[in-house]
Amino acid sequence: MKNKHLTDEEIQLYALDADACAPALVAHIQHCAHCQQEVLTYQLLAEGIKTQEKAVFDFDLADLVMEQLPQPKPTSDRPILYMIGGIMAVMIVVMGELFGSSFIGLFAYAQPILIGLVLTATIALTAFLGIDMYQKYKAQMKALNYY
Amino acid sequence: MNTIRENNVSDRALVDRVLGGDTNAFRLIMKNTEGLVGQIVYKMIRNPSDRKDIAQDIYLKTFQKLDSFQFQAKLSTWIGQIAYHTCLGYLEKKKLVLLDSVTDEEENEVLEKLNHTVNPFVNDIESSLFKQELSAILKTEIEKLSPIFRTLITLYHQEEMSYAEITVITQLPEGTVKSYLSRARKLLKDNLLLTYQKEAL
Repeated sequence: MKNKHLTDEEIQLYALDADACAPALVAHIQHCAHCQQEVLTYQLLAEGIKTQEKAVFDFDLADLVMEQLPQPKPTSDRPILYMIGGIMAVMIVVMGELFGSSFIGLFAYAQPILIGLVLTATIALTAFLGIDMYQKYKAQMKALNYY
Repeated sequence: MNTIRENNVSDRALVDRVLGGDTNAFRLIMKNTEGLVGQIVYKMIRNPSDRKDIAQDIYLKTFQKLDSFQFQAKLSTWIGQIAYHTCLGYLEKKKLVLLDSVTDEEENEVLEKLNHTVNPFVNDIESSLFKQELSAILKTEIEKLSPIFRTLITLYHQEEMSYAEITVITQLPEGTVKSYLSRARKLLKDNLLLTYQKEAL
C-alpha cells in the first residue's frame, strides 16, 4: 500500500476509472479519508459537468446552409442525343456508299439463320454499350453540376 | 467494432447519396451532427453572431470536402474535427487566448487557501439544493475556462467521447489531451471549492 497521499492525477484516475488503477493506489484510498474526499469531489465534478445543459443552436442552421448549397442544374440531353444520331446516320450513309455492293453480295450467299444471329448479337451489343455509356455520362454530369 | 462498422455503413450510404446529388441526405447529416457541432462552437466561440457564421462555414466546408472523407473515423467525428479547427482558426485570427496558463504562484495560492478548510461538499452531498447550487456554480466556472479546456471537458464528460475520438477531433496527441483534461478538471475543482467556500461564508 502507498503511504503518501495520491497525486492529483492518480485521484482523478481513480475517480473516473477505478478499474484502471494499480492495486496499491486502491488500497491507499480505501484507508485514507483525505484521498477519499478528493475522489468524491472529482466524482461530483464529473457528474455535475455531465448533467449540464447541452448547447443548442438558437437558429435553423440546416435551412441556412441548405440554401447556400449549389443546386443541380436542369440539363437537357437532347442536343447530345441529336449529335450521336447525326454521327450514326452519316456513318451509315458513308458505309453504304463504300461497301453497299459488298454487303448485298454477303447477304446473298450467307444462310438466313447466320444473318439473324449476327444481327441479333450486333444489336444487343450496341444497345448494351450505348446504355452503359449513357449512364456513365449522366453520372459524370451530375457530379460536375455540384462542384 | 460492430458498431463502428455499422456507423461506417450508414455514414457511407449518406455520403454516397450526397455525392450522387441528393442534397436532402446532407440535411440528414447535419441533423445527426448538429448537436456535437453546437457543443464545440458554443464552447469555443463566445460571440453569438460569430457562432452563426462559423456554424454555416463548418457545414459548407464539410459539403465541399465530403468527397475526401476516407471513412477512417465516424462521420460525426470528422465533422467535429472540421468544427474544432474552424473555431480554432477564428480564435487565432482574433488573437484570443486558447489555453489557460496557471503559474505556480497562483496554484500555490489556491492550494494554500484550500488546505486550511475542510471540503465543504462532504456534508451536503445528498441534498438536491446542493446539487442545483453546484450545477449553477459549475456552469459559471466552466465558462471561465479557456476555449480549448472548455471544449475538451465538454467532449469528454458531456459527449462521452473517448480519448481516441477527441484526438481525431483536436489533432492533439493523446497524452496532451489527457494532460489538458487533467489540468482543466483540477482548475475547475479548485475554483469550485473556492467559490463554494466564499458563498458559504
